[in-house]
Amino acid sequence: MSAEQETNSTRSSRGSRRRPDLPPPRVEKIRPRSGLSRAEVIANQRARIFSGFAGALAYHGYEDTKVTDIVELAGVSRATFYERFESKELCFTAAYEDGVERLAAVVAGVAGGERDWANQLSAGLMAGLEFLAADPPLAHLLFVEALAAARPARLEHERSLDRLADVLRPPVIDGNEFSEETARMLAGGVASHLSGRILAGEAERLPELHDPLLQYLLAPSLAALRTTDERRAAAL
Amino acid sequence: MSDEPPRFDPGGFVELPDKLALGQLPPGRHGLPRSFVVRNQRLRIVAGLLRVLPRHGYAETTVGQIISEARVSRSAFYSQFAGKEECFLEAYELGGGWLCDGVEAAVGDEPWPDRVRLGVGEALRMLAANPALAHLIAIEALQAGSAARRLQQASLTRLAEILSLGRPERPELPADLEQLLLGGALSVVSRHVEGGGIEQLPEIEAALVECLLIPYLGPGESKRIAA
Repeated sequence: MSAEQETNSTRSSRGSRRRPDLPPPRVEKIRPRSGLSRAEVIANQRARIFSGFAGALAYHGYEDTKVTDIVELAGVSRATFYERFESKELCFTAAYEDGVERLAAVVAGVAGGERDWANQLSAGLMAGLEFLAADPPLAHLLFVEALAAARPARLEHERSLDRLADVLRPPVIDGNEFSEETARMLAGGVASHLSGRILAGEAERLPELHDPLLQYLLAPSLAALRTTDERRAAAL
Repeated sequence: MSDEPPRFDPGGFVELPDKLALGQLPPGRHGLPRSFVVRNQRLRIVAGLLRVLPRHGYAETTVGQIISEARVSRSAFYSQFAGKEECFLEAYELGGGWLCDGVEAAVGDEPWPDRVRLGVGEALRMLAANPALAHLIAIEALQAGSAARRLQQASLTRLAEILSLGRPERPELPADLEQLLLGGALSVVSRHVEGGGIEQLPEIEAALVECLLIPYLGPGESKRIAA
């Protein structure tokens, strides 16, 4: 069997090269002589490349996505792509970082308006789920493809999970400090649950997961409060 | 830790004398039934995939590398599998099933919290003794698309049963708590595997048991059982 057939068999496992339901790129192209500064044009090109990358990934998977697919969806030339990014791998890491920053900014903005930890968690979780549901290709890039990408991107994903774990770590309750592993397990459980739902094509329905995920995230703290209450009741 | 943790070896699954099961069957007339030969070849290919995966990762692994490692022809590979993904899925199914069997056997009829401790300990020891399998389960399975993910969910569901069986009744705990906890535990394991700490996995037993039990028992009691 030839090498060509081999490639075809991996491609077909992810879906064909072209799908009629391919979404249009999300970022509008800037018309020539728009009066924008060079920095603005570059920022717009980057955003378009990232969104084109996410769109291409959702259809071809990381392995099979080619720079040709990205530039076609992004509406930029190959030369422009390579002016901004050395390779597909480096572009992926940049797209991933950009997506994580935007997600984190939305979550932090909403959570900042709440008083206590549980309400911050609930509001932040909803904002995050809604952000991802509004952009399924990005959700796919962040929670599915980041795991299939080259090792630097996977390590970047591990760092994001550590960062998420810091946010999800419950406060000290009655002298009980929760371990790093507990926080990391909360973060990993959420990420792996989201990843499964997104892979099943249910990215748009992520906000429905708010209540069970919140219950999961609060479970360690609630158990700590419960045992404290039980001890107090026993002491009375 | 009384005895040596078992080794995962698909080549050894075929009930042939060791010498034959691991290697290539002698050419020509060996008097072995055809079904035996086919099964032997299939498992040898899976064993070959397992050995090359940690070197190249799922995305970079090619059928060429698998067949040269397994010492079978390309046409033999394609008579067994449609492609790399199918071969990978079989490896995962065998490996995941083997791990779940081991964990179920280790937990026995112990009371519930001890069962969790025994199961986690056994799983970590089995993974530490089988780096290729740890790699497959903790890293590569996440790269191989939705079919692999479904198999992973099936394994987690089997393990979730151990975690949920006999747990205290708590109406406020979410229905899929066990799935979420185990997904989280797997992510902690992945982090160690990715960081090159496969052999040190048994060292995280206490920490992992503790966080798995906290939602049910609270921090104090969980720490005591995990220690």
